[in-house]
Amino acid sequence: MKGRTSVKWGLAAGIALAAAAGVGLLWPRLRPEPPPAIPTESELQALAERRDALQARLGRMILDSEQSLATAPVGHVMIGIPASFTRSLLEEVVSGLFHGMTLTLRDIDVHKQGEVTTEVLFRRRTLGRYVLDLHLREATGVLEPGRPEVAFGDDLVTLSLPVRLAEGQGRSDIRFRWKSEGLLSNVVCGDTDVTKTVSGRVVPQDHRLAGGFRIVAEEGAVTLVPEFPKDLRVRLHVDPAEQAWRAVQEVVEAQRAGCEAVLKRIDIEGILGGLVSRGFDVTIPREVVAPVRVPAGVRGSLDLPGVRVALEVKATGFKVSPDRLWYGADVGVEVVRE
Amino acid sequence: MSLARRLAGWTLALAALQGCGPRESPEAAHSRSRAASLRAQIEGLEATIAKAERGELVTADRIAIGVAEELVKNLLNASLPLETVVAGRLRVSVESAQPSFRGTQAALQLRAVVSSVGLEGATASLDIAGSLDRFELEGGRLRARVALGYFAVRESGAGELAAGAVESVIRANLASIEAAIPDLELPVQLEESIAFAGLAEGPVVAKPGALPLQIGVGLVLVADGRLWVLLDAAAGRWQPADDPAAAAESG
Repeated sequence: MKGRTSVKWGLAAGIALAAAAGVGLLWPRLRPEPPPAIPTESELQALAERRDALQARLGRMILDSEQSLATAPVGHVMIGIPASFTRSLLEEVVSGLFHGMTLTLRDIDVHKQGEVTTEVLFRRRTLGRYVLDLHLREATGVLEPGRPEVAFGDDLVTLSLPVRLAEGQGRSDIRFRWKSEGLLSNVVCGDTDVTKTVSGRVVPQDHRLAGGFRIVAEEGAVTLVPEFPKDLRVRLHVDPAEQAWRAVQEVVEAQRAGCEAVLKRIDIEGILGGLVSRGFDVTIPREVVAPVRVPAGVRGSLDLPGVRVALEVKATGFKVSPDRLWYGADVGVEVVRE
Repeated sequence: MSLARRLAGWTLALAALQGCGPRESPEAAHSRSRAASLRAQIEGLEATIAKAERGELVTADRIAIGVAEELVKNLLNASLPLETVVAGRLRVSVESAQPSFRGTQAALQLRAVVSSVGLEGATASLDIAGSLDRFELEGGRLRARVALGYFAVRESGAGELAAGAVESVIRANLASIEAAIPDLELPVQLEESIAFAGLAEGPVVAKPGALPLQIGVGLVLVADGRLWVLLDAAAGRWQPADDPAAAAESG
């Protein structure tokens, strides 16, 4: 029994020694890296100074490229919109509004009347009276904007937009009435009442919309409010087509020879040309250019998990610089538990 | 238990104990954490300066959103305290957050209280260092993830041994604590398009349409206690509302 116990002790001691030896041999490889020395206060101080110096250097580099930052309104939130972006926004919005804008005139009546006289035995006699009515059934013009010119002022962005009345057409009824006066005229001509439908094309014309956008800092956002001193007036000129003049000629040529000579004394083409050459005014209301909200602003509230955060936004100012439009706001946070 | 087994157990325990040093004091842990944070900031600053010197740090054509440390602190703390249970046995309550916008990192210092789910009164306080990470713009909202890094048990009401156990559980479950912390949403609204309802007034008809805007996070910087998010922004082409092809393309 005693012998068996001795064997056990010997075996246990052997295992223990072998394990200890194994750990001893492997320890240099297995042991974890010793942690670096605990930094001293002066080392921390040196690191902080190095950090601050680099920070200042980076700050100077940013300020060099962002010169307006130094004068930007300070607030809890500062938003700087690049002038290049604001410019392209306005260019695209205004051009988009005017692109394909149609001007349509309907049912406009123009009237001209007169008489044809002649010398008979040293006396001027009236041969007859004519009435020329032009009923514009419809004239349509389509606008095409050019490239706007945008310039930044203190709190105003000025805009000048070339607008071309690019294409369009019109259709009119021309009614020519002739009433002879006197026996001779009645015998030769009688009365005439002819209506012809004619068409024409709208004459291209260039206009310019001039005005600007006032920069208004409202709660949480900057809005570009249009300020255009007057409505844009576009004159729609319809140039009668060759077919229209032919139709007028047909009215005259359809008369008997003597009468034709009388009616040829009426310059119908000239009268008609005078009627339509004045054109028709169309007023584009200035309100067509709507306020443009700059697409970056401060929110009035936030929804967090289980919590609603009401934000009290107070604008601290805005500044228009050559490179940026700056907007600043202080934001108060009020938590509303749900 | 046989003597041989007992001896073998003691030997293995001794070997295991050789790898476990005593826990560092909170002061030492704090110094080490601060040094690591400063070195990371220096490294980040050097990289950013190098980028600026190469002309790669373009800010001029980007929308700049600057948010003060104080506001971020108020927003982070608005949803706190926030509780989560890790490993089924520790309740971690994140009590406060303090951002620090120095260097190039949007650093965060969180304070949390850890308590046992089953044991009343056993608590430890925890300092967790983290940062704002992964800034994203989605649906006009600008958000950042809170990423956790280093942590240390500041004090433990249940002694050194319990503090070590808390550390190992927290270390193993830091990702789930991180996931429980909601994103920081910066209080800015960024529009994705500018719409126009159209106009039909008298003889004038202007078609409705919209100007699509492409805005995305370009660069994040911190400077002088302020977090700067620089957004790449471009206006697209005006899309008339009655042009389905264009609308589909923009959408």
